[in-house]
Amino acid sequence: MKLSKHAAFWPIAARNLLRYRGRTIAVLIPLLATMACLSALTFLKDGTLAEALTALSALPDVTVQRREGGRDGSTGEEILGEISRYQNVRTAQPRIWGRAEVEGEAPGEAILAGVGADLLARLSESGFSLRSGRFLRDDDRGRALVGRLYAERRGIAPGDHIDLVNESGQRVAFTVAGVFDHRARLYAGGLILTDLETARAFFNYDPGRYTDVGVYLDDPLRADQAALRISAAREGVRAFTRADLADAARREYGSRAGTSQLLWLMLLVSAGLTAWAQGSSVSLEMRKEIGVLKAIGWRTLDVIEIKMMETAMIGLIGILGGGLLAIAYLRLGAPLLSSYFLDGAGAAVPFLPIRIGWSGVFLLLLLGLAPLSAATVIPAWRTGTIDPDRAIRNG
Amino acid sequence: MIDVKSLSKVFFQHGEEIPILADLEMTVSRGECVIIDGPSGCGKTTLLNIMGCLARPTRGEVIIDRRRTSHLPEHFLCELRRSRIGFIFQQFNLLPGFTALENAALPLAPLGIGSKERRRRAEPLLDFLGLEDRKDFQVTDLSGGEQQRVAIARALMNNPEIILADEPLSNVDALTAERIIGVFRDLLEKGKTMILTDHSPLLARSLPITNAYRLERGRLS
Amino acid sequence: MIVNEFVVSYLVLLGLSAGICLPAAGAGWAAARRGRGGPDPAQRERREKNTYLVITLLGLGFAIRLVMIPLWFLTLHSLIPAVPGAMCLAGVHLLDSPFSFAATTLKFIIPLAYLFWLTLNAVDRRIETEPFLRAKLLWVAPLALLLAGESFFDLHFLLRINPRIVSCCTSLFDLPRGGALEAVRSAGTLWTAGFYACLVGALLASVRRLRPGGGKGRLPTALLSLLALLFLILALQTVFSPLLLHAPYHQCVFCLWGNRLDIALASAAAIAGLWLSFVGAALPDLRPYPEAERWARKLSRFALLCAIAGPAWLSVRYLAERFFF
Repeated sequence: MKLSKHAAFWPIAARNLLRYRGRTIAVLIPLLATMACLSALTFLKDGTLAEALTALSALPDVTVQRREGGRDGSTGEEILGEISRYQNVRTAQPRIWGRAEVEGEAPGEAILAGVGADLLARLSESGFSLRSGRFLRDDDRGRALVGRLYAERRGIAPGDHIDLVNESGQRVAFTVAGVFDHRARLYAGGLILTDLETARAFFNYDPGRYTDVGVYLDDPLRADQAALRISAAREGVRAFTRADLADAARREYGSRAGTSQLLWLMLLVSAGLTAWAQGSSVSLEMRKEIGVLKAIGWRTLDVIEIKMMETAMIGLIGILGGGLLAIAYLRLGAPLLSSYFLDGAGAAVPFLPIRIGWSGVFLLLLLGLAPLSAATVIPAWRTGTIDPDRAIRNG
Repeated sequence: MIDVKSLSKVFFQHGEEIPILADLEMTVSRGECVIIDGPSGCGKTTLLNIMGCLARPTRGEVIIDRRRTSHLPEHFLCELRRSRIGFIFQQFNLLPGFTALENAALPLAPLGIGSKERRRRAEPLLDFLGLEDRKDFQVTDLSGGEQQRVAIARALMNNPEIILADEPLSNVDALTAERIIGVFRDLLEKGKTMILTDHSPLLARSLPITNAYRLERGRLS
Repeated sequence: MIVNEFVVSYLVLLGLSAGICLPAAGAGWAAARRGRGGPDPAQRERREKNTYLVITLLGLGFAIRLVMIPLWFLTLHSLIPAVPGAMCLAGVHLLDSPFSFAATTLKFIIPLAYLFWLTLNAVDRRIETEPFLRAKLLWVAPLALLLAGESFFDLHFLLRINPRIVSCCTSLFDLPRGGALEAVRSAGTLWTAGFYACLVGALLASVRRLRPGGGKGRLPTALLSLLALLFLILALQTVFSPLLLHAPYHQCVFCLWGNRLDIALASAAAIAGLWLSFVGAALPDLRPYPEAERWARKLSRFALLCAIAGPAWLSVRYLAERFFF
């Protein structure tokens, strides 16, 4: 196969697209819409998943929760003590956390989490860094660490007071001790950290009760076994690892992306039909041109190749243009798509996670080029097999 | 060089047979200049296209340098046209949207020759045909005579041995016709074989014609 | 059925691929029955048009099938989170064995079958009399059968799988003890030695064939290339993967290719080289057709290069891991 021949055809194929601008645009418009939809979906899904996985990296190796009547209950000191004695458990840390409404704002804007002194002392190991102010101390009460994005949106600085409202409607005042940052923007945008006792008072937990227990292991590679052991030891207790949560995130967002693709399929059919129709309508002038090309020595397969190259070029333009349109759409907040994708996030996500990853790009290239090529292969064959004698005479 | 043996061509339209050519015999040797004359619609273009392997005869054979073409697959015929035959059409048949130089260099693209090299090869040919100032013009901006010269350049791009010209002077003015005749004379002096169809006596008067045929009612005389 | 963006995308491409390739079989059959069309130019033109249709459809089908291979593995990989207990592709395969294994095996066999057809077509088109025209048009039917089979297995897998617990992450050869599988699993040295022996034999036979005035040795080249290909897969599974993955009992060529890109590329070169050597040797004697023979020799030289480069890199990595790390 002479590669130079194929290289020589590309500029001619590009020129043909410009010469028959009307046909090119007719195919490009539905294709741009299709690829914009698919790209937005792909970038948002990849971004959401990446954000979720980044957030998971700060979690304990195993999280232990109690189920009461099928719902999440609270764990107690007895479970904490028991877990701490297991082999491979380095430390078991109780946590109290839940939604905290912010007065005057939409519900679900923040998660308030109270953690013990041990964890507070080792926040930096979990990826938290201090932007301003200070980290919390053992004896702090009524103080909070807020995330950078959260603070920036509300103009909060260390020393300021913030009022949070609990489930009972009580307003509780906090003093901001510091502003933290984390590479997981979910934390920086919606997490407020405080000490365990302040959180207990906020969420009205009885002494010795916690929302769950975070377990840190000596050998994190054996987290599955530790989780299994903990779950089996007591009835009504479930333990899951970071990997379990990661898998759940992948399943959920993959499923949402797959379901959303059904919309894309409808657009794809219309783009394909348009490409077929445009490819099939060969004008007399075009027929004559093909006849002349064959008369001067172009083979049938050369003509077919040029037609498929034109399709590939339209496809690549559609993919690139669609990608740019998708980015613009996502920057504008991705109405409709974001509410579907981020539904159930737990707290309001103050940003739209977007990521352009290699697997997403591969999918876009595949789905942009393959269907278009399939739609135009028969028209390309029909064009390529035009009888040159008849074409030159009659067009 | 080209032997035509018992060549017949029949077109089918609405189930009816329309005979165009009937049992033609002709031999054109290397370096000869042959002119085929005849009234409009007598089948001159059909004959030329069959001799140039652009169409297949219904019966009979075209033999080019002892090579039978009737059994050749389509891509071999293309190869033959590309390497050994140059076509000059009555209606020029240039591709709009391309410049004169790009049109002239089109036969080189399937050979894998890049655009720079195509330009390098096409420029001297266009200069030879007096189009040095028109190379980068769109063909739609050229006069009829200039377009026909671009078409001639395209036909000569692969240095073919056989040149088939279908009424090459019918759409050009007298001055251009003289110029084209001069080009044809040069080509004949270089040993090219030419087969032309033409109504007018101008070609017959101006070129060293080896054989002249008249095609009438599908037969050659 | 487990739905995610990879599954939906794969199903779309599967539909397209089948929609392109299966009609090609019909067109090929029709063209083969029509024969050369005799002296009638209209019949000949119809046959030529059908042949171009077959070539075009199969060409595009081949391209789509090639890119569907990495998509298949990405799809399988995307299913891992949905399958409790599965930690790798082998675990996902256990969801719908043996249909899943059949589908994956055909992913490798079909491109090789395509390559054979495309080579036959390329050779045939270089000969004026097109002596292999009928053969190549008829051979589209078995290719289409393979494609239909693969489509069936793919659909069976993707549409019927449900999230259920699989026992653990296991590879094919780790499963049941005893029997043929155990024998295959534990004969790693034999497969490796067999691979190198057959490779050297195939290379020597190829070089001899490609010498000026050569031409003999088609049968040994074809047989040895095929055997070398088979032994390569077994050696990769049983010897290379535990060694290069640093996991003594982990025999899994999927994990090897997924985690060691250079090995995947070297394997691809070796497979392509050995298969093309087989194809080149399996072609009929082309000495009466100089142009076709020239092209076939160029192909054989390219195959030789791949069959040397791929295994050379594999050997370097093997020796480095074995003796230095």
